[in-house]
Amino acid sequence: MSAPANPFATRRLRPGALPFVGAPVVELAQRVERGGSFEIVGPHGTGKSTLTRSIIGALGDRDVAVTLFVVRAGGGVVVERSPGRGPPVHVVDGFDDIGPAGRAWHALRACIGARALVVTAHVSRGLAPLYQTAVDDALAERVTAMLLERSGSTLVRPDEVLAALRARGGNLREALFDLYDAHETRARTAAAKT
Amino acid sequence: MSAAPPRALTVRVDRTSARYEPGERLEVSFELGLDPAIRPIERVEITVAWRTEGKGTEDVSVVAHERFDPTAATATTAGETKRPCLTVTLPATPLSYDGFLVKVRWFVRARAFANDGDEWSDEAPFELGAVAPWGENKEE
Repeated sequence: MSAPANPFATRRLRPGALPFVGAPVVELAQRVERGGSFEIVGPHGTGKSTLTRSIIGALGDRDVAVTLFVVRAGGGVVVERSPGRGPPVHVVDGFDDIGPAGRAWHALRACIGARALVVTAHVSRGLAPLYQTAVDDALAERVTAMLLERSGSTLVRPDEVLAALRARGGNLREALFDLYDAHETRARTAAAKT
Repeated sequence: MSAAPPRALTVRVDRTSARYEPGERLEVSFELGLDPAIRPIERVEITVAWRTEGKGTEDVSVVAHERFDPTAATATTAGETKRPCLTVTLPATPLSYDGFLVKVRWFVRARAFANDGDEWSDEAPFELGAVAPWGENKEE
């Protein structure tokens, strides 16, 4: 018998699977649509990629084209294009992970053929601030509760994320992966008893 | 108590146990609960696939994918309603696996696309093979 689906698996946490909680996404998308060069800044695991996907979704709802460059740790880049009217918004998720030449190339491309530039970074790159991501206890509990509600699982309590968040130095993604382990262990213990 | 409204789209495998062995045939069928007079459906796509699930990067692989014209769903033979379906001979691997760090999940998915761009989807899991879950085959 299979264990119940784990609400904290990558496929439920990855950017795009969850809405970003706490930011005025539509307002941010409207600001981007008007043009400019923007940055979303925040520490690891605080939702920069998730917010980026939410903004791209809102731009799509407004029929704005987007070209997204996702920079992988190790150097690879995945390019995704979504259709829409006019020049695309040029988005770089992982601006810190490309070198100065790469950052200059994206800035130039954005100037030449794009409606706007949006980048995510851990430290400011001197662009107009669009949003600063941060995780507090209330947000962490809210996201955890949302994941548990979606899966229908009661094996983990939402407030259990708080200890994991402390242990992970405020990195919510890593804290949720700790809850993956806790959920998996409890699901198997429960299955063994029945 | 009122009855629940029909689901817009339901996908099913042909065995209630949803368990199959490599090389066996899997038949996938779908049912549309949408009124075609109100929401005309342009096409339905059926996919048979597996994915890994866990804390790491996911792998996904599609082993069969086909498009159907939903208007063919009401054709009848010998007085029975014959609906389009997808039949697949299942491969030898990967077998379904319920590990702690990684799982292999097989599933069928149906997606229905309306003429106006709306879409609906439904997914049904099934198991390929009979590998014991992690922890059940460990020695004492």
